[in-house]
Amino acid sequence: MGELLDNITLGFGVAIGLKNLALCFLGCLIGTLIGVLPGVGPVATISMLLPITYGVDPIGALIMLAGIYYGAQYGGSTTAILVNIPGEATSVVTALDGHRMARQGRAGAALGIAAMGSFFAGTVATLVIAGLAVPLTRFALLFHPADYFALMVLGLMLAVVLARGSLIKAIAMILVGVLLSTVGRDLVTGDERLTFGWSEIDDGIDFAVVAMGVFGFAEILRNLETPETRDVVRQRIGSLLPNYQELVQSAMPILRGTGLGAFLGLLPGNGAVLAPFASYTIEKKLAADPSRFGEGAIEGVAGPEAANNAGAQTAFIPLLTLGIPPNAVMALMVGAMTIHNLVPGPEIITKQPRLFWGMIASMWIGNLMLVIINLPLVGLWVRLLKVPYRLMFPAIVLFCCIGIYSVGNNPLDVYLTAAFGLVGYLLIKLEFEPAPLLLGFVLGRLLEEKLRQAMAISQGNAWTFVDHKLAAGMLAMTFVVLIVAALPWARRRRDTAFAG
Amino acid sequence: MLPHDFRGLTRKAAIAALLAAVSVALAPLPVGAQAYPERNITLIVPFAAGGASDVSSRIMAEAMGKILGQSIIVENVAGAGGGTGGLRGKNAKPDGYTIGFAHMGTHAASVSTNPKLPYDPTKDFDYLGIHLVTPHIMITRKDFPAATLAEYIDHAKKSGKGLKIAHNGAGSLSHLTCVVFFQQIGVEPTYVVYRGYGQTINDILSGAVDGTCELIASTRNHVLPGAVKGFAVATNDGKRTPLLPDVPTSAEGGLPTFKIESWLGLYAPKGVPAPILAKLRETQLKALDDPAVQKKFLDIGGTVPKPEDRGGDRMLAIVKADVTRWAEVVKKAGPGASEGSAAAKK
Amino acid sequence: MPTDGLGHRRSFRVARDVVAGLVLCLTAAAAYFGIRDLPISDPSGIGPGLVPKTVALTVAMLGLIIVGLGFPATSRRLDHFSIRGPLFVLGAVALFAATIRSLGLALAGPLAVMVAGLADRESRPFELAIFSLVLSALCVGLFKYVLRLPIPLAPFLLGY
Repeated sequence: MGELLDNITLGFGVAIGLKNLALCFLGCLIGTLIGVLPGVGPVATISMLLPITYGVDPIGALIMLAGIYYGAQYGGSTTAILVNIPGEATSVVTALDGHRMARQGRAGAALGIAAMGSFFAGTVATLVIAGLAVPLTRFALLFHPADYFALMVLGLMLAVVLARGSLIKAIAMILVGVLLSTVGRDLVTGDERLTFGWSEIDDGIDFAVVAMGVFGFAEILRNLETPETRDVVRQRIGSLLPNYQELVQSAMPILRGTGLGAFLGLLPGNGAVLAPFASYTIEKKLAADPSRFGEGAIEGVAGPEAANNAGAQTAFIPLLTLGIPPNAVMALMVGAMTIHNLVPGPEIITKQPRLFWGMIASMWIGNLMLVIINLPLVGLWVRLLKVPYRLMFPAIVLFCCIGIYSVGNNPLDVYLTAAFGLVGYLLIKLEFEPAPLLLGFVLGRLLEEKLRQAMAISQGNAWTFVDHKLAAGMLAMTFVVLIVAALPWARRRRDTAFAG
Repeated sequence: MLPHDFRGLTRKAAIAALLAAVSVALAPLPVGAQAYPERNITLIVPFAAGGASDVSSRIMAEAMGKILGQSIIVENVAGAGGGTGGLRGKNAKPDGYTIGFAHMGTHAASVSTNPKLPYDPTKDFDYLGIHLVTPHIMITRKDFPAATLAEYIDHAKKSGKGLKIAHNGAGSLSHLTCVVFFQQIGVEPTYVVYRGYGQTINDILSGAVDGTCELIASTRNHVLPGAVKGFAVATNDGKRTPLLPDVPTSAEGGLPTFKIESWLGLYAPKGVPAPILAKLRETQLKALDDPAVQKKFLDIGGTVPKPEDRGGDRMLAIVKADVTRWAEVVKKAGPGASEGSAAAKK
Repeated sequence: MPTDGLGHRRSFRVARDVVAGLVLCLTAAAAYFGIRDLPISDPSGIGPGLVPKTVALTVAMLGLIIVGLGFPATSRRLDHFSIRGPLFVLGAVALFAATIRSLGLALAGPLAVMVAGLADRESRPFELAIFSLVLSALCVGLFKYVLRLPIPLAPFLLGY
């Protein structure tokens, strides 16, 4: 314990220099900005800023890049809450209740609780990294592809709970999402799948294209049709911060979300993506009145936001200790580290204690700065909602177009987004929900890859999913979740049948 | 353009000089390279930001931009396994304001692995030169029961399908390297396919798979500290690479035919005016001499090419040689090695 | 569901879920057609066809169930589709895609904003025109100069 304290002191000594604080602030600010802009992701920004960091010492450079990463995570939630456009997979869940809250005039409360939940989660996750990074080093390696496959199946099952309406339609949407994720060249054989001979989409469809189409554009089309609901947004603006009762409601979800996120962030291959979904599911199941979820329940924002941030933070553990980047941003961080002649791996802690502990201290400082930057911004964002909708939506359209174009500097992506906007409009009319579709899309690719890896490793023996105890346990759990989810639905179905 | 001092000149000469200056200024497009570049140059990278290709491009963009006195802005145009960006590069206006990035995968192997490649690497480009080379390497998990290449090969032969080798997808350089290596030692391992090295290395470290075939640029961070074992550095000249001085080459290990060095280079679309092309090539060469560039390349796991392998003409020759070479490898490996095996069967 | 109280809207004389189920079946059929040649298994275990084919068949099955459940006379009717919104909003997006590389952000931006703005019956053309110019100028500053994205500005004029 004393050693930990010494280390943390060392870390703060490194991070608190004026220059590093400035870099941390700059990173968080840029991150928030690009996070708020739909489509402009941290990957593109970090790689653009990489050359600028050559001039800075390695610690400063990494502190700034890490700041961009958290900033983008947080900024993405802002857009999801305000205009229902999830910029990243992890903010899909935030959009569900967060945007509903904004429409009820509670945007300030939603943004505020997201900031507070994230800060709390970030603080805890930083302590987890500081205290447990070394013992947890090998955790990521315990997961065999078979286990990972089972985790993905379980995750997809959880997606069912995201649905407000029909269970069967939610399952159908998940599967359509999975189908969508198989578009492009097959990784193993190189066969084109569902491209219908169109080689432009050989590399698959970008998440932002689908999300902005079925969420963002479809939301605009819905609002244009129902002027009654959209006016609510600009007339009533409640308090800028969550009230006491909302804080009490959010406390436990934040705690649980933090735990979940911290755990899932340790997994290889971006397990953190599951964290907000899992948190939402748990909160909805635990709630006294689950029907509030999807209608503006603050727990549905607090829990997933905490989970998201905790996961984003602990994802640094496999990176720092094993040199395994769990996602594209982390891969870029490895690049940044090697360019500064730092080799991530177990030795980094012993050989570069200043860097390691400095970064950990800066993570916490970064989280603090995000709160400092974002709480005052809440007022500004909420005021933005007062812009008349007839001007607001063309602006959203333009920002989305620019964002999507900048994903691949390719007009094709913009056309595709328009097409997905039409799909989203159709989904609304047919009362299908887009959130399960997006989760299926995100997890589908991993699901298939892990399945095929596990089967290749076991040389075609399907018992591998039973032999791996973790996998077997999770598949059994999936089965239980399915039954638990299906029972009330079946009962309700019967009741309505009798009533009708 | 104007002489510094008019007083020493006759009136006539002064007028002539003025006229000359005006005509230069009014010329619609400067034919000479003196005026070039007048604005930012775009460098098309056919992959998403963040990978080794992107990082090396940004290092070159920065160094060359400094020499030219104009920014070179990297534009990531991902899609179709590099085909989308390559096509945009091919079709760009050949005015020197658009250049592009090419590597062994996009501009040599792709001819054989991608039946729908929208450009011909041997004809459609004016190459500026290779800027980075990185040899390929075989790596295994730490507790793999072999210490030398000979033992590796022995073990592979004994295990056959029991040997589990990871690669990064059909037609990827990692996959092609595996194909070459196992063709040469006459073994058919079980392939386990991952999306990128980040995922592959996880399962090598955990021991779920035995090893992979990769570029040193990707693996160096794990080979150096001994987290994985390195075998058979596939350098062309059989000499050890400064990137991994402690790992024996394939020649030392008794498999001198296993030679694969990845190259990364730049091109301009075909038809750039000769003075501008010359200036770009000269700038590229100058950037390679910059010690800061050399150091950054070392840090990302590559080296600048040897003097005789530099320059645009040499790059074209290497492209042509590699197109032929990979065609042979893919042909020998059968349809499974190329992308779109089912499509090809139709 | 808040949108159901709109009595004044026309609706189609078909049950919504019947259409929903049929759309799923059609999607599944199209998907299956797109992967019909891919093998379900291959020497390494699972072929490229297994997952998409299984998923497509399941989607079709679910589609049929949804059709079945949607038939009762009490089922909700399919809401009417409006033309104006999708046409102008998505049209603006497509227009942006078509013009960004030739006209650049300086022109494609205002164009997209103005066309999108027409989607609203309350739109005021003059206000919209001014707004589109101001907003585009803001975006040029933000994306082109602050974030330094390689987005074309006015290629026909400046060459980039």
